[in-house]
Amino acid sequence: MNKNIVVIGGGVAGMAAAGKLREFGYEVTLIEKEKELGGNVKNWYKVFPDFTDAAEIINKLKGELKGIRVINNATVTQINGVAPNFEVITSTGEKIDAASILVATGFKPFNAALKEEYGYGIYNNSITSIELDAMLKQHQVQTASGKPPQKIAMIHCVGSRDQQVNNNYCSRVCCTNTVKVAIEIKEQIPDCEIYCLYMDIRVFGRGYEELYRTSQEKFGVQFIRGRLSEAGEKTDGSLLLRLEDTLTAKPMRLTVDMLVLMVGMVGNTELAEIADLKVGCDRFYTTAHEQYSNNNSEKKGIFLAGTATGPKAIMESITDGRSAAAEIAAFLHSFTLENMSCDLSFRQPFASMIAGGNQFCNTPPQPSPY
Amino acid sequence: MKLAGKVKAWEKHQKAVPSVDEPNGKVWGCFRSCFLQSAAPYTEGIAYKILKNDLGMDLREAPGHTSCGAIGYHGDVSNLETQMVVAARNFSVAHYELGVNNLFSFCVTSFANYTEVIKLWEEEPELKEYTEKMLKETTGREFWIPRVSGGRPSVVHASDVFFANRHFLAAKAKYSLKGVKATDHVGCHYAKIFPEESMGGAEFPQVLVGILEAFGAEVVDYPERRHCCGMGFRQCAFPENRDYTAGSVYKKLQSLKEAHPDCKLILTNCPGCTVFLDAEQGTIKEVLEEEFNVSILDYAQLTGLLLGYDPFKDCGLNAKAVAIEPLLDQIGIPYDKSKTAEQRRRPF
Ligand SMILES: Cc1cc2nc3c(=O)[nH]c(=O)nc-3n(C[C@H](O)[C@H](O)[C@H](O)COP(=O)(O)OP(=O)(O)OC[C@H]3O[C@@H](n4cnc5c(N)ncnc54)[C@H](O)[C@@H]3O)c2cc1C
Ligand code: SF4
Repeated sequence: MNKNIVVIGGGVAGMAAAGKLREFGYEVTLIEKEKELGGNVKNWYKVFPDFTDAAEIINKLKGELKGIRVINNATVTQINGVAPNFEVITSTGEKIDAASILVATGFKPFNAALKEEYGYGIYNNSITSIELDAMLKQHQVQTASGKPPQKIAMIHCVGSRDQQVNNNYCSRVCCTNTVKVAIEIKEQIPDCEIYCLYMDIRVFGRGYEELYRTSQEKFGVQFIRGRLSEAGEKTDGSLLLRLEDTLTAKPMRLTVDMLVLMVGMVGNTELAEIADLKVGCDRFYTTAHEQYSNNNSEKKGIFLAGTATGPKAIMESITDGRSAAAEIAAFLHSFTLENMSCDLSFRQPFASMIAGGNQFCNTPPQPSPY
Repeated sequence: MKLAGKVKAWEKHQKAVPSVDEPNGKVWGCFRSCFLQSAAPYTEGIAYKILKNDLGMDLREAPGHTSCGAIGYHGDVSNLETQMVVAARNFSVAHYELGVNNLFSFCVTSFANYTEVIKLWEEEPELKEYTEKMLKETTGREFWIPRVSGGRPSVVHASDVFFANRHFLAAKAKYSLKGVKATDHVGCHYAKIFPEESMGGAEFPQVLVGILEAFGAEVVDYPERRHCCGMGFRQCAFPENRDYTAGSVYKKLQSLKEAHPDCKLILTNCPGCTVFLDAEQGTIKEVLEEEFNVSILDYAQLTGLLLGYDPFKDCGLNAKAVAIEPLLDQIGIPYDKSKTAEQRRRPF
């Protein structure tokens, strides 16, 4: 059995897993399709619930990759053999031996142009939450004509909980992301009116509900339980929204300078055939058991982590990556026990970790700014 | 507005309608519209003339064709089973008696209704079996499903046929819409029930915009472009509810006026929109003393005008609430100015 573990996908889940596996003493090869590590998080500005700079999270996880071989601009085109003797062939033609494989290929943001009625890609001031985050990062939230918007509507559940686009699931992060960006806009443009049109507010995590409350009490962000029917463009570029207030069951109209579509997550299952992985009806990878084997795939030796198996927030993705690392370690440990002829020396640090308690918790708790 | 985005949306929603130069684009079976026949007969008349005389099509109709029955269906008078057998009978008559493979309807409601039964037959085979059996038992006829668009089970609308042949029509046009601002209003039964069966989709349909562009118009958008004309089978049938229709028309035209006060032409493809967007301007004028003077023409009426047909004798524009003369002047179409407006409207 060789000592190498291949992690596919260098988002926060893949990086967290790779770092932990390295700490356990394994050799790790991290294969990332793009030229930079960080996945979707590298595009975010400050993240909920505590407004940590996304770059800080990525740098922290990158710092844990010492001794790991990172292959950028590459993907996996073929996987041969069985655990613990896989052969992984990359798009660059390289053959890598692996005892185990972790698939942490994440999600793709929903393509908002599929909701044609919202005019994304057609109306200049209909943008996605991803574009808004980039504007916030530059401290340049402005309409297509270069003016700071005075009135913004944010549409929840774009591409999620929507039978029309066959995404029945909730993307889980976009409600809290709406609350977060609404606060950020208010900080950058205090007199901007913000209307969030939601189906339900699903702010589930620790500190999320508090953030939701703060956004209303301290920042005056307005939440309307409403469904957008369609947007139409006025000659000045502002958008006329036709919606239903679903609490009063009344149609209403709202004119805004900017429409922000809070796009959800779409499963990225491009390795399904190559890694022989099953895909659920939600088009995320299926795990061996939803309750107690949520990092194992049905294929022995191939593990899953992060948003590849369904929508998760950053903290959950990181935790899931590290949980997958533990599963992999246990899996390989069982092999080494089965084959005592194997060299156990590389597992030493794992043992020392167990002995050393919480030596990996080195960030002091940060108070939330709100 | 980014045109590239619109073109991208259009690319997603294309259907293959044969044009007259293609082997299967010359012979068509067509279904008349009961609503057009009664409320605005010349709109269909001019479509016939154009398709036959200007495009040289062989249009076939059987005396035994019936109404599609959709008004009864949407008004809860008849049920789905009846609809399916009526549709199957009309298809069977067209194919086995007239020898046509391609069918279009002049009414968008018939188009949606036929599309709905075809989709049901595709998705629920037991409904197809039922229809086949009932058709045979009640009429002795054979079941047949038209496959117009790209060989898949489907029918198309007359405006699709105009769209498919728009460049031939534009090449024959005597007058152009250069310098004329225009916009579209697509029937909900054309686009909104089955967006994938609408040329260009439901949100930014291409079918009428394509025709307007082929004739050189400057197409404009306005915020309430997609707002319903307000007809609706129920409210237009009951006088008590008619204010809803007038209210919708008012909302739309006010929005158009605000965005493009110089746009005086809306192109339509639904009998209901064609009649009500115009007629309610008359109501608004009477009740609120407010005039919009936006001409509502259907694709065939506009094409007829541009091909040089007589606005009143051929295109049926004598039956409009909004006077057509200002638009004729704008395009440069001559008419007998020695007569009064009233005299011009009685050409027979
Ligand atoms: C608009 C938006 C805002 C968000 N804001 C927040 C927030 O403020 N706070 C928060 O907690 N969460 C937020 N999230 C959630 C957060 O982005 C995710 O939790 C996180 O990105 C998941 O990380 P991941 O590693 O699972 O996947 P990803 O970030 O998707 O990373 C996957 C990586 O795998 C790579 N990859 C994919 N396929 C292959 C392949 N075939 N071969 C090699 N590499 C491949 C990708 O290039 C990418 O680098 C937000 C999500 C969205 C959509
Ligand atoms: S988290 Fe909120 S916005 Fe996102 S899909 Fe769920 S309910 Fe909709």
